[in-house]
Amino acid sequence: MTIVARLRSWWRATRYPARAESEMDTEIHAHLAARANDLIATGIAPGEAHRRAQLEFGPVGQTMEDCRDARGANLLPSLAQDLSFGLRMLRKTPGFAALSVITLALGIGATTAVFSLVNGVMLRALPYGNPDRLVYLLEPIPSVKGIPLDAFGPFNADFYDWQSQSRSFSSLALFSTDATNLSIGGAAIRVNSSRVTADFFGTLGVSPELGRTVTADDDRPGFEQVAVISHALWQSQFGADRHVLGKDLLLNAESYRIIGVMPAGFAFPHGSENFETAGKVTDVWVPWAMTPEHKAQRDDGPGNAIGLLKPGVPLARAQAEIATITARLDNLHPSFFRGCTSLIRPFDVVIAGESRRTLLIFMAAVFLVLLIACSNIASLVLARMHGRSREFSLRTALGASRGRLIRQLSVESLSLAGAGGILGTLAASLTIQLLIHFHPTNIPRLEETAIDARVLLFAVAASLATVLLCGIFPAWTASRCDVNDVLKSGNRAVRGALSGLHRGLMIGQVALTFVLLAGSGLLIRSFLNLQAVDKGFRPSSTVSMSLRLDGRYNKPERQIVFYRDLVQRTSALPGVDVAAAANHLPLVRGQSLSAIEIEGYPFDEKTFFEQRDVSPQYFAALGIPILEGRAFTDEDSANRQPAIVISRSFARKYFPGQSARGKWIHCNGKRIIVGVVGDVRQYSLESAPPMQFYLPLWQTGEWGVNIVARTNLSANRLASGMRALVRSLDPAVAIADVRTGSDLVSEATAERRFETYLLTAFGGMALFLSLVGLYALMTYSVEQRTAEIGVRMALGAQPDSVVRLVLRQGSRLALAGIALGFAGAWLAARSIASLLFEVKPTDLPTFLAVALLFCVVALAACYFPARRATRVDPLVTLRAE
Amino acid sequence: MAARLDLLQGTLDLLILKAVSLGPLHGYGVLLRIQQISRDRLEIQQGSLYPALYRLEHQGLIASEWGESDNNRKAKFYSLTTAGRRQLRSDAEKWSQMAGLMASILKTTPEEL
Repeated sequence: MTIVARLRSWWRATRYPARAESEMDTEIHAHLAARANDLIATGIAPGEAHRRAQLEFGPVGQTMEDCRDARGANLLPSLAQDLSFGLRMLRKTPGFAALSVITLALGIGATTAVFSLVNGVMLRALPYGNPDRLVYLLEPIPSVKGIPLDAFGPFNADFYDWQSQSRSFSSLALFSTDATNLSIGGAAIRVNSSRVTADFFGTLGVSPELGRTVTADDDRPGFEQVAVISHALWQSQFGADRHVLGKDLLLNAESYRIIGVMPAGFAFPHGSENFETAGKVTDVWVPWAMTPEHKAQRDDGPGNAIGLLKPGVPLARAQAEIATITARLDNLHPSFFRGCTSLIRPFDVVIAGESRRTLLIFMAAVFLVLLIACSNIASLVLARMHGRSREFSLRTALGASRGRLIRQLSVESLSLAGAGGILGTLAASLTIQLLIHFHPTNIPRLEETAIDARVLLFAVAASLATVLLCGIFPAWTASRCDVNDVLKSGNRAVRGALSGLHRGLMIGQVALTFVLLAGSGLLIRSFLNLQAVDKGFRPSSTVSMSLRLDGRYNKPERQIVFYRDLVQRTSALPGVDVAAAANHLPLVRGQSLSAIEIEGYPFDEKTFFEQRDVSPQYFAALGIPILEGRAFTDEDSANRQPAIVISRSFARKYFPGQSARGKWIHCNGKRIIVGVVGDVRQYSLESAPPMQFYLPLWQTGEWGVNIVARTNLSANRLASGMRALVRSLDPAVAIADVRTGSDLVSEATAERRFETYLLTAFGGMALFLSLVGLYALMTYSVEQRTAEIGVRMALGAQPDSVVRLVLRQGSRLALAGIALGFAGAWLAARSIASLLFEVKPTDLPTFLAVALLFCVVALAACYFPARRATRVDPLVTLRAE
Repeated sequence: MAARLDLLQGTLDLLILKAVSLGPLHGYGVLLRIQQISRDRLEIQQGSLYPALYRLEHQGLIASEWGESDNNRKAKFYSLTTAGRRQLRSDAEKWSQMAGLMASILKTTPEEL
């Protein structure tokens, strides 16, 4: 009730100020008149009566002001007054205002940008029906080493047993990630495709935009010639024609009938996997239609399994159930695949994958930047408040309440934070554009990042927190100062050394900055190390592209004929020095591992070697050195002696101190080692070269190869020449993944480059903020000590010694901060150890370099205030006393 | 809210509520009524009366209405609201309790300990 009454009264007072005023005036004057009348009635003269009435009443103006306050009428006008006064004060000190706003904008901008990123990748719901119930099901064999966990899809028969025996899932589905040649209008393009079982779309909970998806009827051998296409393919190849259903699609030279179109944005599995496929989209889905023979296989499992948990079934129960079933099945596996376990992983964990840790480290870094920005603001405001303490004392003496002062200062801080927040949001959207521009391929869904309402909310919360931290506290201490003290002692009482809080803020800020800088320093060193690492091949002046053959080439001989022809014609293209083919290129994901038997050693089925199938000129094209023996030749073909080439580390391990040439290795038959080549960093630049061996492609054949050419042509020129070549050989085969050798390398370093740039940017920001903070603090300190410096100079101090005085004060603060930061960084560096490459987390040179950099910056920050101190005129300051 | 007001302010508010509870009054009337019922033993700062009246009205404890005073002048008359009556009752009770307690404490002699 009283709330309503208050609001009504406040509303009346605010809405009809004139009426309220005149009523109040009437009422008070009526009172005065009535009192005067009563006095006249007691025999006092009218003039004296009016004077006495007035006197008894007290100051009318004050009463009326109190009445306004009592009704809340003053709230808005006085806020407006505070605001305009605050803005006037800020305009009087533009340097302070600018520094504060920039600091806030940097802090808020960085926070918002990184939060948007984390939000986009980690927090935003996946575009599927029930993302929190979606899981991956894996069947790892723990004894098999060196294969990523994600690669262990279930064996076919095990999957179907899970499907029929488990009770925890609403549905289970199997899918593959493939690449397919799609023929349209005489030309072939390569699209990503997926074979899926009947429950695939239902498990993900997505419905088609047009037509239908794959049903159990389609998922049978003989009925599988139907296809669901993506929204993007529908738009680009069919002009968004709504009559596309029923049309034919030529996939791998076979005809499929289009039955459905998926909605825009649905690109699973290629679009949102963490392995191999990030940054791509799936364009075609076809029924898997596994034959009964394949369904019974317990030694092959080309698919990935997903499942939808029944509502309310906890992950642990599903995991336990699948583990029980898997244990029961284990004895049915051939001995080589015994020891299977099972693993269920929630979707969001798999999709954000490894990038989760990186993003958390960025969150921590950005939090540090925000902390530094806030302490900077606090110290700026504190300095300013000290300068204004006389103003506050005066206002207190003139009757301003502490609440009123706090309100005044809060309004000032809020207008600063508001400006900083707006500028920060702008900076954030700019930063996000930059981040997407440098986008490393392995942060999934990064390109979807944009500032959204939630992020904006976060920015607002950040600004408000900053205001609370920076504005209210100084306002509180400033309004606490003793009026008498300040006024009595003139200017001197507030002068003197910096307050402990002030020094603490500065030291803390320097320390935090040091931690950030040390982190970015370590990352920069890692990045330099990575740039300098011996890749094992020469990527410059090479261009590569990939192609896949379809079911018509179902014999190795047919594949070999096609490839030999293509490589030969490619070599003959003008501008091409050497051309070769290989099943996998270095630094491109994709690998084949084999267990092999080596002369003089017992067969170890659990040790894997990296296998690559390459054409004769492969080593020449990529610049991989031949250390012993020879490379393959065109003579190493089907009916000749099976040959093999091994890498240097392989030869060293298995044939130490002797020649490997002429030894045999059992791998698809007995092969003779004909040569030893240099080690190549195959998977990534950061992992040591694996032990590897090469087989002649002309003896093995492959479904898909990469063509690599050493050439001075641009990638596009070579690609168009190659397209014509391939079309003339077979118009249904498409070329994809055209890139130069430097593209390969830069893609392989993209993630690290991204991390390094980002953390260095944070470090730079922190350094800039500290520079600003230190500069502002020293300027303030010099101002405070003007009188002291004047006295010193009057007593004969030289400018040099004044400069030293100021520098000493500044550098003592900076050194304390550096020492604290050194210790902190030394302890904290361990947490980024996994991000480093060939650098210890406690790398002394890096730490010393950062410390040195900081000293230089600190000296620069102190120098200009110190110079100003020397220009103090002793006469002026002494007279001012 | 009421508990945080200092003694003097709280006292004035209570006196006003009591005065108004005896019948609608304009501001000067409130002053006269308080002086009358306190038999002139209470000195009220006239200027502080109006902020208190406005505050009580703002809190919804009293309501105001314009009317004619005895000598035919326009005057604003204050009367107690239902919330004000409730407030008066509870405040009065608190006051008598406090007064009784204070009186008994102050009357204490060494023998009684």
